[in-house]
Amino acid sequence: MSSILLYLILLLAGGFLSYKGLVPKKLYHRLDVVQMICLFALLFTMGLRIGMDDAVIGAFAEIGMHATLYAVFTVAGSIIFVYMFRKGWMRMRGGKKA
Amino acid sequence: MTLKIILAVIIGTVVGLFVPESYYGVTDHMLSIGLSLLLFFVGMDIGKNKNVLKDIKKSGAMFFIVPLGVVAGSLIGAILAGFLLSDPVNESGAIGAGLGWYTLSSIIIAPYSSELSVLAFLTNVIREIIAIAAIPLVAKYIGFVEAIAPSGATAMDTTLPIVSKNTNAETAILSFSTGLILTMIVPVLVPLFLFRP
Repeated sequence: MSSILLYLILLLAGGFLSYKGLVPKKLYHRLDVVQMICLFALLFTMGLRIGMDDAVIGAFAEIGMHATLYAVFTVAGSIIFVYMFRKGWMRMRGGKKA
Repeated sequence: MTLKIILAVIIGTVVGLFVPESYYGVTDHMLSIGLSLLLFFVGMDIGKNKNVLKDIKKSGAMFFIVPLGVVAGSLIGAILAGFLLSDPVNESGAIGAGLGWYTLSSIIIAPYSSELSVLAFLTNVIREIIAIAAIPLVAKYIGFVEAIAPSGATAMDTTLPIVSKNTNAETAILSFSTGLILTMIVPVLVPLFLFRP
């Protein structure tokens, strides 16, 4: 739970500092590079953990098939719910006007 | 970019095959520190856009409705898929909570389980590929607003040009604000499913 709070605070603190112009110019203009360095270091670390775990390596094909099913369901779910919520909102607004 | 990301994970995996398991604990600290830094910089990047508040006003109620639909649909879709695969609800929910942000969601999940982390990574990479193919079709046959849905958190960056090309300027702004909200939600939503107080 504390990690959730920490992530949120860091995200908001970064946003606030940048929005208020409190980030040093050198860093401000190189944010994308700094982000890339962090990201690739993290992805490499994630890969390290995968490589160190024999169970994951052995089940890679099966994980791929499961991932495809998850991806299809999450995309379909997102489209359906955005459609339903938008229609519901339009109906509510229409009802109020009438 | 996607190719470079996949390559970074593959290189890490190959190196990991030769690293003794006793170093597994060290990677926990590496992930925590790296993730904290990354989120701080992601926040800075969001704050760079001084038009954020204007974009929010332009989007109106859809500013909340579209992200809400994407979150609900992704979670319910993932939990349904998890039900078919007999996966625990909290794990399938965490995969859905990645909302297409494959790098961050899989990194957050990594300390919980490497296997789940790989599943989340591949799910969200495949989601982006499906999104790229589906956006033009959804825009044409269902609606412009719905065309934002497949992208999830990538609606503000990698898939934004595709949304913009296949819809209109108003939808492109809505796509950006949706991606922005979802980007803020992922770091909170994913751990909520996995790490109990």
